[in-house]
Amino acid sequence: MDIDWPVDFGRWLDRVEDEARSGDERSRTILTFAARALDQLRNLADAPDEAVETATLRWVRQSRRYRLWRVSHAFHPEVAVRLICWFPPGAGTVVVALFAADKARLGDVFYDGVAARADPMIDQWKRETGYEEKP
Amino acid sequence: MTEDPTPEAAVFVRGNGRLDRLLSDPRIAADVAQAHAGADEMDRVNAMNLAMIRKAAQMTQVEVARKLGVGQGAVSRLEGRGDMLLSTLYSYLTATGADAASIVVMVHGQKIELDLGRLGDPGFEDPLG
Repeated sequence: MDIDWPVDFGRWLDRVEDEARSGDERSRTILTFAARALDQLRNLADAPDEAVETATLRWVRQSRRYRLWRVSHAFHPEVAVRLICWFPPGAGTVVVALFAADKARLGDVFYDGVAARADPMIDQWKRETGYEEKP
Repeated sequence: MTEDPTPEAAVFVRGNGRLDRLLSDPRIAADVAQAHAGADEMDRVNAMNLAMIRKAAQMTQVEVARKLGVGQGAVSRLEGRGDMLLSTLYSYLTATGADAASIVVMVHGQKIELDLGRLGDPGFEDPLG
């Protein structure tokens, strides 16, 4: 899959990488899980089917205008990185990675604000790419 | 989509190249490989749960599908799902030959058992009632 992401997400990734390289172990763990999530998305052959969710790739029940998905990882006692993404229907092998966050301290409240943040970003991606969903 | 946006350029960029560079670092690649192994195991255990019940009953997906009145593919998808209605779960369990299915929870040391077969029953007695 090709992965598109916002410039801000790239900056976040840069910052986490810098912190990890300077010896911050928590940042190293976050970087590992974020990179793993992106690698999982890149290795997908197709967009996932809602009926075939896995533990690491599930659609977000709090989705609103767009069906959002989240990528997670095996349990870690201190870090819970969740990557939020969207698969443009009919776009073939493109996935839009929107943002990632460590929800270890937030809990599932994290998901309550996901759609409000993600939906306008998807609108922006659609404007930039001229994507139109076919009926 | 460009890798290096100009100020007027898109808010979105293609990230594959950045990911490649990240994973070209042997230490990061090793960390990610280990994280993949953990994630794969989590997915495997998640997918195994329902299939394990079917296998314990020595049934194939085709046989369960026949009992449920659906195709084998539907059973396969069901076994891969991370979430489902309790009624769907109950149907699957009874199709595998289970004659009792319940959810047991411990609340403040008190064991509470919910009979899945009676959850939709109007006369169901709430164990918390």
